Amino acid sequence: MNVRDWTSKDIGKLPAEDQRAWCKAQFEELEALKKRNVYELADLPPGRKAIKNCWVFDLKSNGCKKARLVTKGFSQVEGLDFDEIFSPVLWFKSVHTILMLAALEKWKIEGLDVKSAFLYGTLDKELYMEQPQGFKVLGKEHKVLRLKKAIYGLKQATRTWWHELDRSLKALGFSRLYANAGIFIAKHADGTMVIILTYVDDIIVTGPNAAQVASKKKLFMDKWECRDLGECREFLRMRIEY
Amino acid sequence: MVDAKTAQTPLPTGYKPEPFDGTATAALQSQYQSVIGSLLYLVLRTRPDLAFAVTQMAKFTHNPSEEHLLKTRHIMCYLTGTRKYALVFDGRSDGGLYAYCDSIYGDDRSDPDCRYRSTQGYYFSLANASVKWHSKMQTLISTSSTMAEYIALSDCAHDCAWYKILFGELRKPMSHVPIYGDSHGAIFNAQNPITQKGIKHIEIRYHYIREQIKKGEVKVFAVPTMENIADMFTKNLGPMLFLKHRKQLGIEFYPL
Repeated sequence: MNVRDWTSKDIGKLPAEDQRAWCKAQFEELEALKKRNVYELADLPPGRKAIKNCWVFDLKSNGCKKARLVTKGFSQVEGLDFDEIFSPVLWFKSVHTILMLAALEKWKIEGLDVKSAFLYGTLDKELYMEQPQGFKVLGKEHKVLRLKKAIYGLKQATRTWWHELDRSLKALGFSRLYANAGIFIAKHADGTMVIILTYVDDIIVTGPNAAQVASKKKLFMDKWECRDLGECREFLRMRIEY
Repeated sequence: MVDAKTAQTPLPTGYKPEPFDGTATAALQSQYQSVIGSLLYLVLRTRPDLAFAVTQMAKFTHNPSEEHLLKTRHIMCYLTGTRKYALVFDGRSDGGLYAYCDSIYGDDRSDPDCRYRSTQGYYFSLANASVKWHSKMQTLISTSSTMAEYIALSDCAHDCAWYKILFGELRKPMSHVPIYGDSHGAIFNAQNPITQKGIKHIEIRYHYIREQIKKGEVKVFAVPTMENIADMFTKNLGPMLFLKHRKQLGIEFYPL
């Protein structure tokens, strides 16, 4: 069975040594959530239901074990836990067109990957989640977690992340294109520009002026914790060679 | 599939899939859907040459037969032979943005209740490589090949307008987008606002093309069918034409 199909139960059947390794991965995830200040312990208000959660596991290509806490978005109640969930997405015709422009005008293409992007999304609703499976705080098992930030699996996770991105890119001098809301562009007085393509947490930064691209990229990376992919070689599983 | 036999074209020349009379087993259906899902992924990203073949086969995901599955294998054989091909944006040519547009009248057999709908296909090329492609069954029944082509031209003009907005926002304003089609009747009707017997029933929204031509946003030109590259988005061509058109799409041998 693929690691991605495993549940906590399957982990429990593994030899003790493997169990410890996966448990370590789970602690790392909880640590990351704590660092991002995603939730706090709270009492569940009457009339509300806590959203369920579960663990998903993955083996990265470098052998690294990764565990992620996700909510079960289907247990959210419409109206109470979420309203709007639409989130704009980058079209492939835009990607191809911008890549073609970059090829035509010899632009530099830089890639970025935002780490745990969804955890940046600010929620506009009060959401309550059960404590993580197998990691309940001793003596406070009846309490729930009040979410301060979006978390993977929530119905509105992509939307809140996109809002966050839109807001902060505006602060960095970018404006969203009318033609496709996944493209952001900063125009400079000298006629040059920096273009940012965003497909959820995969980012491409490109533009005619390499220095401007580098400086905007730096600003972006100061704002979010990113993995710098340098010269972009892969975007959405499309290999880019040049 | 690595050592599979290779095929020159995604599907045999002139192949038209027929709906399956029986009922597919759940296992076959799930296998077929997963294969089609993977192929559609390729179509969207970097393989316009598969667009027609895959969208044709994708009509049968609700009830596939062994024959359909076999034909998706044929597509994979084609992929095996072209695994070293890539969509190349070389940026060396000076070709601007233009579109090729085509349709085929009443070829659809997939829906037993509503057969004989037409298929349309178009693609946009920027600097001699395709940046957008489209192959789709039309949503209404055309009464003539001219009408099918007219609707395709109109849908193509929607994308022209989008490109105009995009390039405007990128500070690269365009004058007009040339659209190449091979139906003289449709082009005549698009350029001349007359109401003839043959087209009086066309819904208002499909006359969008006329307005766009009048405003000078697009210009429509006729090309011979043999040179209409969008032909490959409406039928399964033979190897000669297919390979010629594929090169025009910007898909080239690009070993890494």
